[in-house]
Amino acid sequence: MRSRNKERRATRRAAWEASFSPWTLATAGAAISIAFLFQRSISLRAIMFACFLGVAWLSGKKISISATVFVSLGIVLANLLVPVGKVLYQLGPLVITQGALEDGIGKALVFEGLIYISKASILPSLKLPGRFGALVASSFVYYDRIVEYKGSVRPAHLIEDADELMLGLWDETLGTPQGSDRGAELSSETRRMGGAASIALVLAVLASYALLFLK
Amino acid sequence: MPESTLPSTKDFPSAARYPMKKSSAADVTALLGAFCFFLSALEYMVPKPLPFMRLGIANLPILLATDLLPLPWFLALALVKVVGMSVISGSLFSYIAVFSLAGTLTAALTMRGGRKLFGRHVSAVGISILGAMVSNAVQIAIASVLVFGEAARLIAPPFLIMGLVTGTLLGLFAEAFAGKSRWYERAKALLGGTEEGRA
Repeated sequence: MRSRNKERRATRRAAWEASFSPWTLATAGAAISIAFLFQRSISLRAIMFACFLGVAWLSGKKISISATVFVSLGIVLANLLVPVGKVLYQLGPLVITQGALEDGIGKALVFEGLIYISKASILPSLKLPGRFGALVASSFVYYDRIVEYKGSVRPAHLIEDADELMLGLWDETLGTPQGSDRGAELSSETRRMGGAASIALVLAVLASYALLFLK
Repeated sequence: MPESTLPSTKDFPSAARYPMKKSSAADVTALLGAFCFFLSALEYMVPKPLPFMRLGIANLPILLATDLLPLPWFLALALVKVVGMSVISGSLFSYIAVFSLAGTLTAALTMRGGRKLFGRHVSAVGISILGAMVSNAVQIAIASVLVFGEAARLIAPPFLIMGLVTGTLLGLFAEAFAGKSRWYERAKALLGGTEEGRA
């Protein structure tokens, strides 16, 4: 069951990544995030949050509903500790006030909503521009080597083994780190987007800003 | 990746002040950046009550770089950690990236400033604790503005105690690693180390 879910998620992820060019998707994600931050209505924020959750699911990214609920409850509870506005309910020493409750729900929606829209709009193949981007790409190359490292890192000999790993990477790639899979992936990230995908992104951005004018 | 695509000292004008080989600092920065990614990935697996409440083990390479890299490359390492991890985890547009940027940059600048100010009179443990405490304090301040409001003061004590504990442990590890590691010795010999680290 779990492996079937994993397979489905991988299929969704592959389809999502094949549909969009990384920079266009990231730009659309950034534009929608800004509209989301400016949204004042809690109900519209909740609708947008639900859309972001759905899009993150479609993108094949890992979603944890329990973590979302747990973190959101924590944010709401923390905000309830400072009473603001009309008293709605009293639970022992905890006074639930309307202002604090709305503020907490709003903040929780923004916090979690931004995580999901970010997950959906940032593809791992996003290549950062310029020489700083090249430095990040180089780090990804080394990172791949660390992950692929065949030697052991034993807790009892952590320093010696970590040193061995660093020396191995250093000697292997000093000065001219060769491109790994991720490096190759990063260098060939530019791809053409289909018309439907472009239209969907434009509509999503326009809709997020149109919601700002609704009461 | 060909060497020419790596940043050179001319990208960071002040780097010209430091005696070092042109590509060596870029290589050390990239390698330490990769370790930041790796440790962040390990840290990601540790359950935590809030997404931004991190142990801070991914700052270990930055702590090691305090006495190793020239300032422009040291700052580049901090940015590589934040941007790279935000791209890997897909959190670039979320508050988590804001916490990560603020936490990492303040920790890096505090550790570097601490080393500059106190030189060798303070051990790596002291520098690490200083960085962790200031970083956590800044994150609490941001949490009070973005997420928790006034209630942020309630998470301050456990968050700061956590910083004290992890800062101490990371400092002890960094001290032991810097003393024993052949890689660290070679990298330091290659780059010349920082003036503060030599002081």
